Amino acid sequence: MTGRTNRVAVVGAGQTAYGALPHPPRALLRQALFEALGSVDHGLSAEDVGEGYLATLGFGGWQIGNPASLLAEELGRPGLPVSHVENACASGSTGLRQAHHALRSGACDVALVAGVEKMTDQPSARRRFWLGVSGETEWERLAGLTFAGVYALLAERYLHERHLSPDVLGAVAVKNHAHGAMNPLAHLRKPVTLDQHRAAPRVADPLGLYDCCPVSDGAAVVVLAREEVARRYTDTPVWIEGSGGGSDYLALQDRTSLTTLPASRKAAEEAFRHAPFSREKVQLAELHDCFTIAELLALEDTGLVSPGEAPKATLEGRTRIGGSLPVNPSGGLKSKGHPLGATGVGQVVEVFHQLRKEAGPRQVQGAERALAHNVGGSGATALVHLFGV
Amino acid sequence: MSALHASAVVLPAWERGGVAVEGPDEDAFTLLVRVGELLRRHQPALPRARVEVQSIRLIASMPGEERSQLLEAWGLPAVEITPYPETPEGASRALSDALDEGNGGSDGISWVLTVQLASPAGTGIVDPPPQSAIAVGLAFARGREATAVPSPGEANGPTSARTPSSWVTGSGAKGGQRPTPFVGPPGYRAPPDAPATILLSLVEAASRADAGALTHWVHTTAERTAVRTVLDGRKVPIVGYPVEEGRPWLAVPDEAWRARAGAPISSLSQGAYLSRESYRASLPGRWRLEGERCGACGGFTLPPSGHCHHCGAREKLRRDRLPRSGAVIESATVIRKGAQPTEFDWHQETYGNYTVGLVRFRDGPTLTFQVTDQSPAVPAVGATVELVLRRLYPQEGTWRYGLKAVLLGPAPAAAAATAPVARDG
Repeated sequence: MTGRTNRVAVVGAGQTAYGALPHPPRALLRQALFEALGSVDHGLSAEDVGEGYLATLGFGGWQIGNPASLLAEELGRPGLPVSHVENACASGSTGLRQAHHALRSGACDVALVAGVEKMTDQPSARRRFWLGVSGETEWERLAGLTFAGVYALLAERYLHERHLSPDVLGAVAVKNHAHGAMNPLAHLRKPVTLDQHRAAPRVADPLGLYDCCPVSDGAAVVVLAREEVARRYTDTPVWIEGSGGGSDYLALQDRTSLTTLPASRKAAEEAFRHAPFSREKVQLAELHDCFTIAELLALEDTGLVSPGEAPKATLEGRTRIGGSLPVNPSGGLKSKGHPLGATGVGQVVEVFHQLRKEAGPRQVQGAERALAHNVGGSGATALVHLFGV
Repeated sequence: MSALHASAVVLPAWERGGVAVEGPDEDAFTLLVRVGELLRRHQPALPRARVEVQSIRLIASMPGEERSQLLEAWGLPAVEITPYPETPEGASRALSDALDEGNGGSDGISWVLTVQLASPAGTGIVDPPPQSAIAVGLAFARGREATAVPSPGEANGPTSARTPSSWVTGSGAKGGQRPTPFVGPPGYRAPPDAPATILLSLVEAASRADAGALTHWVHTTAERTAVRTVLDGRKVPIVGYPVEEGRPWLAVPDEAWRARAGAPISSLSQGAYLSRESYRASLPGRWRLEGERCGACGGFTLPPSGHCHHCGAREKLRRDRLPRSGAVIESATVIRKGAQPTEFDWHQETYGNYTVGLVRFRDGPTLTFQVTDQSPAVPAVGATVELVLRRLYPQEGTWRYGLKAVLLGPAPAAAAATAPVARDG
């Protein structure tokens, strides 16, 4: 089986809490790195690492150029080949894909993927400078849109075409907050009700405050190893069983549809093409829910539910922990938080713990196959990774 | 002999009864642009334009760029634009020069445009637009060159039930046709002693006279009264327009500009940035919807880039312009406080929320525009819009301009039938 040879394993994973944290970016990176290295069952020497990837937008401008060298510094390995990867909110999973490629090519045996973002230390005006930088500048931003507005346009069209009430968005928020309340590392560890969702202040119609992910600080790191060496580090590796990427027009206005993100579809198709299991066998998914509408789009675009089924699946509770397809058991971006560069890596941290049955009260029972889906901006880039044990 | 060929009067939305405005976004520049657009529909030949440019100098452009900005907005090549100061004398002199030229001059085609703002601009670039404004444009042609003139209703602005935004009259000389009676803008309440008002009175005069038998000369007397001398030699005072010598209409000295240019502009983006050069380069697309139509796949690429963004073709691309009206709302949202990019902080702080929509053109492409001349509200999917040039945001000492959508009518029946029905469920 093509897909099962030359595999890559996740042998360690760690992250900081997400939230408004007092630590500067380097301290966040260091903490996540130590967590990840400490999670490697049989230990890992810094000397074993052959390549490093740092995913960050550099939010606020703390280190826009050359930040990846800091990963080598914090590892205590100056000299390590490193790269900065940036695909907006999909930077983390892009780093994962780069490392996956490098390991499969045989260029090295062990690679680190780190993601970090420090967002809450910016004054509100500067924060808004940065929140829109990954959208299309000339037309979208300068017509007055940031991502809340862009996703609002997607949501308005989605609800219009399908004759839906905004309550279906509320159902996503209620579920993900319920999950996040069980995650000690989540940013917003509190349940919300549908009434609270309805009554929340509007941000960009039809989206209200509880439709939007928070602005978070945080870092996450995963340790990847080639199949040949993986068992040196752990007896319970989590295998990367598929990697897919896709892209699309940067601006919403150039897309042909507002109710699907083709980049996600392409990424999912590629990921499943060589995977040893099909969509029906996926037991849990971390989906990119920067806004509630995004989770509905992602459910259908990844093919985890049939086209048009996402609202029904959500309203019926199929996507809750305990349902047939738990989505975002971590709380998702919505509740766990969204430190941009860290997000895609943090999704893998959740999958790592879930598939190793280490997820505590939010453990998805019997989970052996998982999907992680990460979107850059409003779908200009997207990645899907599949995991199994 | 010069004949008044067409005239156009434009009022900003807030001057028109029954129009709620979510953020006044019209100014001297946008009004002049609109007047020129209307005149051009009647007189496609390239005009020689005489424009009062002082009032746009400090809002629309760096000093010295006023003329090129107007030509860009009108889509005209480098025709001659003669600037005049915005004083009653300036407007009168512009008019006289145009008539003289028509009577003895070269091609005899000329525009006279002016804009009148009832309150002077304040001290900052982000000052709100004036409380009262009007722009007037007259197009002259030699009698024999005047062409057929469409009926007045035809070229008017938005065909909504609201008060129209503009009045266009043609008074062509062909076949002894009587000029169209001029009906003044009902909401207009600017003071009378201003250059635009003088031009307005000429429009009125033209509507009462035979085509071509128009005012020959406008000047001020020692008594500071505006007088027009008609062709038979009679001097007719322009009643009610005392002229105050040297009264500066919105004359902002250049020192103010320099002081301002050196001042920090809080809305300077540090995250996403469209430089002045890139902005200027984008204007054919941004202001006139110019792009390339692909002969292979029919796709429209804006801005034009020499290859089709849809199929990649590099041949059979033809310059095309999207129509300014008839596009429909594909989706829309109201941007609330905190969801705006910093470029729009000023708007959000001054006027509050604003509306943004994706607008789909009949032949395919979709573009993103703010929706203006309405209270912030999500318009119905499928609603028809017209696109008008308006202020976008201030940056680096001047305003950036772009098209915005004005709702023309409700969604067509077919779209209305698909309106959300389960919103309460």
